[in-house]
Amino acid sequence: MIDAENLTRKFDEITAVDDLTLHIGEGEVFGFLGPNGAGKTTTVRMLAGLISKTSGTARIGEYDIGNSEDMQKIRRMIGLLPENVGLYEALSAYQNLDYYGRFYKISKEQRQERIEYFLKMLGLWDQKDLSAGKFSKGMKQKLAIARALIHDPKILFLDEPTANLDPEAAKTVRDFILELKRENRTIFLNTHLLSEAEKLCDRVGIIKTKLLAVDTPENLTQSLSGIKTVIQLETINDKIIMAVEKLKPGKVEVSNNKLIINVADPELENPDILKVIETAGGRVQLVNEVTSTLEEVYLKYVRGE
Amino acid sequence: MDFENTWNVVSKDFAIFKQKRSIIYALIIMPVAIGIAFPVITFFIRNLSQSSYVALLPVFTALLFWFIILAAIIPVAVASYSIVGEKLEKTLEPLLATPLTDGEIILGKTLSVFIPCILATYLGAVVFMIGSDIISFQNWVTFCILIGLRPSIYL
Repeated sequence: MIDAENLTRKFDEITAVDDLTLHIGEGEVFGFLGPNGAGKTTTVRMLAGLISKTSGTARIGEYDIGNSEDMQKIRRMIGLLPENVGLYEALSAYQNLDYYGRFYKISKEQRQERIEYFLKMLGLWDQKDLSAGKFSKGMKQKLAIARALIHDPKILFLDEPTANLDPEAAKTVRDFILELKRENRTIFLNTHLLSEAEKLCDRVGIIKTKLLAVDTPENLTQSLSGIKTVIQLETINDKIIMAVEKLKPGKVEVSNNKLIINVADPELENPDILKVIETAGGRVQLVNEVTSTLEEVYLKYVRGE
Repeated sequence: MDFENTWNVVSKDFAIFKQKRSIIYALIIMPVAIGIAFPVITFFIRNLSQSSYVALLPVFTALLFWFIILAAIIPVAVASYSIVGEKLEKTLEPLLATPLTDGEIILGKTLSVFIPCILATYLGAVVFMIGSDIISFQNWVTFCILIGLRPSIYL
């Protein structure tokens, strides 16, 4: 659905996005992670046709972003939630949505229907005649999401949809994104909230001018340090440690009364480990599996470790 | 060029103008106040100096110049909301992501400033002419000059 090849954007001497190659399938929720100034917003702006690319190519569906005729077609397919909501504060919530609906040639009845549907869904229907300037940040954000959806776009670009929102409003927005995911829309989500990416995204990409990694959150977390089995024992002694070390040389850490063992396939290896511990006289209280968090993966890539 | 899109931009701007008191003042109160004040001033000049109608003509010509100044002031007040407002409220970015073309935006913005300004100056001019025609001239010469000249000044 979104295919970028060697997409690059330079601002004078500064390269904002360098050689980005990325393929996002239909119905996929793709999370774009990266620190401030990493090129996330620039990428979205290029893909939405707000700024031109310096080099490379990108296609949305079958249309090329470099071609101005194609760009008109792309604009009908995409919905954009920019970093700054950009609502007309003097106009009411209803007027704001209606204004945008007209550009997509949606009939009056259909506009009314859709505006009512979205405003009710996002809990803003009672405030439909209130000017957007009187809205709280969360309400504005929700209204801007409704605006991005008014023409039923196949592809949604969401630039930090939950930034600056209180936890409750952020959850409403997140739940709404999950709802959109069920409707099989392709969603390109810029965020620097890793927990959000983990909850919402099918795949994530980590960018810092260059794209550093792309994979599912699970694969990324496992690729960093593999899986660890943590075994809590009643007491720990050298005999037990030696026995486990013999089975898994160099993969064992000891912390208090816990053994932390790197395993490749926990289901296959854990029974053997436990058997060795039992034979050595250890009493197992608890067995846990831990993987590194997306945060660790993110920091590793972003710091270039 | 899709004129429906252009008109949509214009009508949205009008809806915003309605909410902004400073624009309403600039569009209605200024031209009307000048339109009323000038005939009243000439009325007193004539009464006090006992001068003939012909002697008043240069005074009117001088006062008409104010309508040119008005033509410079009103669009500034209106355009600052119409164009700078979009930038300030950061509404340009989502607008550019719609199928609206640049030409449609520019034409829409031009019309949304041109239409209210031309109407406002006409309004002031009509008030001025009716006032001065009743008070002193009993003819429609200046009225015709204003109606003929005004659009060329804006364009």
